[in-house]
Amino acid sequence: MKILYRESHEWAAIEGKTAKIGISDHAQKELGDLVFINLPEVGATVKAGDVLCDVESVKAVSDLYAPVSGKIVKVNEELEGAPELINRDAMGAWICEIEVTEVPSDLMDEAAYAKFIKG
Amino acid sequence: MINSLKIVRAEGFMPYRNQAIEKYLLKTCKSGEAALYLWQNDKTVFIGKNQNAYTECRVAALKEDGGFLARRFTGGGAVYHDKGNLNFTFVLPEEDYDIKNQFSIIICALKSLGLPAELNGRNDMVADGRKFSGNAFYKGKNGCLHHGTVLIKTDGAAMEKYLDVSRVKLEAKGVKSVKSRVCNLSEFDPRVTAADISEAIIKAFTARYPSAGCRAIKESGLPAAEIQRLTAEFADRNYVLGDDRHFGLRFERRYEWGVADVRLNIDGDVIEDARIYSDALDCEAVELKEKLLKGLDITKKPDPRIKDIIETIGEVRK
Repeated sequence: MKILYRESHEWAAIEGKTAKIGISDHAQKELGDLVFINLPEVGATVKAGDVLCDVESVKAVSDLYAPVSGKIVKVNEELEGAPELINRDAMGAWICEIEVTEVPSDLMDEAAYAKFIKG
Repeated sequence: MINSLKIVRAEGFMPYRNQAIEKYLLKTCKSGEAALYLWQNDKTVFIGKNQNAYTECRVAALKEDGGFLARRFTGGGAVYHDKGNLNFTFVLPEEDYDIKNQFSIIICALKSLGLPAELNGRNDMVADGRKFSGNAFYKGKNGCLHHGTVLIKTDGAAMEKYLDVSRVKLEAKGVKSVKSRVCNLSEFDPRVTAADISEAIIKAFTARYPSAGCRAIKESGLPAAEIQRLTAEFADRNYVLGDDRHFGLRFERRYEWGVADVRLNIDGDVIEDARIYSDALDCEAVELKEKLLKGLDITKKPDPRIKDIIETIGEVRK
């Protein structure tokens, strides 16, 4: 499994043909306490960079973007009633699973992302 | 850096059209440009993006009195708007978006009129410790948006009436409103008007970006077809009342006819909308139950085919 990050702070944990998607711990801290998540729809196809879904935190409503292209095959319904799970464990709380058709070349690995958020 | 300013003042009081103009400004946000939009709605309960309309607002009473129910695309709780309230919206590209700076523009403007105003926490502005302004925020690909209310002479009794939903205790997944002690700025200066405050905000806004060019745009200068399309989106009943996730009351029960996941919106004593998901083999019978539930007054004697569901509603609402 390899974990890649997008500049907009989503991660994709890619394993074979599928990838679990979530947001980084840095993103979770920036957003603040999440109060709601509108999960993406199973069956929908997304292109990397498209709006995947949105979250509401105590600070703002923010869009999340798809780090990879493909078809959404699963969503983590547990988050629907408990979006705070993302605050608690951002790398563990996956939002959806995508059957990947394309991984953009500009995604960052762990080290590059760590450098990126340091600025 | 901001080098151009756009100022729009709404010419009407219809919430959906006003929201459309706001959304249009967000959609057309571009680098180097800041927009200020000032607008007022007539008698409107304005709920947050992820709220349940029925748990936050007395929908039927509002409708009866000729008020509007509208849903923001920003988060937070329900607020009441009327012509005694002024809304402001800032739209900026992400690199120039700074919540503190935007708040300080409003506070400067109000202070220039001699009104006591200060920031309280993350989302509110207060005068004398009481809230006169609630704010909400959106961050998107194209740009960021910060909007808020300024209560000047809002009808407090109406606010109480439409937002008081304490009589219904429902279990909904949506975001809950938090009640605050509010005040009207007219308490501090009975002569102050929305027009005065608008002027002062425009002045403070342009003063904040002294080197930027400034354009005032009339509604007639906006693309009519696009505004109309967005207006229809905001006025859409499905958008305003919400989909599945916005059902206020939800329970699962095993009945003689099957296991059912029942979702309802109840306004007062009337079931406004109902959906039943069930493993029952007889789909038609389940559909019929849904139909019987819709529009039903739960205090009246129900059709025997839905008697069991009505009993559960009684239990769950206790």
